[in-house]
Amino acid sequence: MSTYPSPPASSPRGPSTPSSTPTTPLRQITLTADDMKSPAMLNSVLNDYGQLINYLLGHSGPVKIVSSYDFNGNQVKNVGAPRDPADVVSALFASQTYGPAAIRPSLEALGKTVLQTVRRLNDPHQRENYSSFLNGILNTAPTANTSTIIPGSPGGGTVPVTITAGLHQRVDGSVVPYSAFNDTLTLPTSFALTSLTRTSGVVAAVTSVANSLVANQSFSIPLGGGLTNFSFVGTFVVVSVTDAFHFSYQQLGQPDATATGGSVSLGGVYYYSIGRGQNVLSRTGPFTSDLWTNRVQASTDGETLVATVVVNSQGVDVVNSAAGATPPQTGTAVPVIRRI
Amino acid sequence: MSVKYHLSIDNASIDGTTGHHTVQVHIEETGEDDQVRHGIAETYGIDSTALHLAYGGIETEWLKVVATDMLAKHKRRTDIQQRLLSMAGQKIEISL
Repeated sequence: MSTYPSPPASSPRGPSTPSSTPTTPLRQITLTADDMKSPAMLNSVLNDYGQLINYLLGHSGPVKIVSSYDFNGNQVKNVGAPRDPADVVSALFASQTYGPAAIRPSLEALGKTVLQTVRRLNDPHQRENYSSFLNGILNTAPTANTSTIIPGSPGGGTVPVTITAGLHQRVDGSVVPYSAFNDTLTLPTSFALTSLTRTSGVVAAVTSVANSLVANQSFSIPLGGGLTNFSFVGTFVVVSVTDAFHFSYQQLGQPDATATGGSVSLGGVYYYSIGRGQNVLSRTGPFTSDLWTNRVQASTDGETLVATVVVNSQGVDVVNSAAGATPPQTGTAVPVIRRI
Repeated sequence: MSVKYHLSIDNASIDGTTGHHTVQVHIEETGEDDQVRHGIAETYGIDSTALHLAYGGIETEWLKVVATDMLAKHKRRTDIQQRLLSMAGQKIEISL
């Protein structure tokens, strides 16, 4: 008795291709001598194998395998051009499509001077150290110059100031001389103060005239103007505004105290810089306060700050103004970050 | 024939945003031998508001002050340079 199912009617023309993908593996068959007496049984078996072979040859369309092929290090030869995203490509196709010769036109479209390789910035052998190339893109420290600031006496609503001639040292060690800059600056707006009251590091201020201060605005309280307590002198930022005459701000590190007189000055901050290839200074400003964002705005690529001049209603604020050779000052009234 | 001085305005510019005027100037000294000597150039600046406050908006009034300032500097530099030149070849004793 055979273990093979009853044979179907065989075609006199031989095996045909299956209309669908075989989903189950062929079972092992064992024909008996009786099965061999019937050609129909043998024909059926051979027909099944024939259909499978035709399927594997692709006669019924794409062959789907149920596992992976291990080519054991051998080649897959004669692969056609890919049509679908998951198709494999031949070595020739890859070379013709992705090789150096193929992508060169795209790179050269950006110009012949496009960097053709990579540069490791942390590689000490490839790092730019003293190249003059850096002079054009880097801003050297504002302290790398020999200038000082000479303030004049205020009068008539203006004050003269001179940034002395000097030398500026660039990144590659070269030195650029520049001539003096003599400027006449307008004294900024100021409001007379009625009183200042400091409690637990917060100062409540009252002006005798309506002021235009708003929250987060910088201002200064300069010496003079009848101010009775010099511990209130400095540059600050408005925290809150109650009305046109009352506002408050922080002043940490000072004991509780009160003062009368003095004035609130809306700073005029001016930056003097030297540009690439120049031997004269140029001025930017006025800014309302000396902030890093304003310094960045005043020193774009190729432009380096040489001096910062802060003006209040009393004239040049020598505490917060400096050039490269300005001597350092000490004291709690000096915000270090503001020094050039 | 005495020495003559002129304020030479080498370049004048204005900042398009702030209206800050700048001039680059130097002193031209014409000696009795008609030779012209050029002084050290400096930049002078003034914004529109300061020009109005200090000089009534009249730029020539401002340039008069510039000229006076530059001439004083030029004469000071010239005098110092002449004294230094006269010391050429001299030795100055250093006492420790």
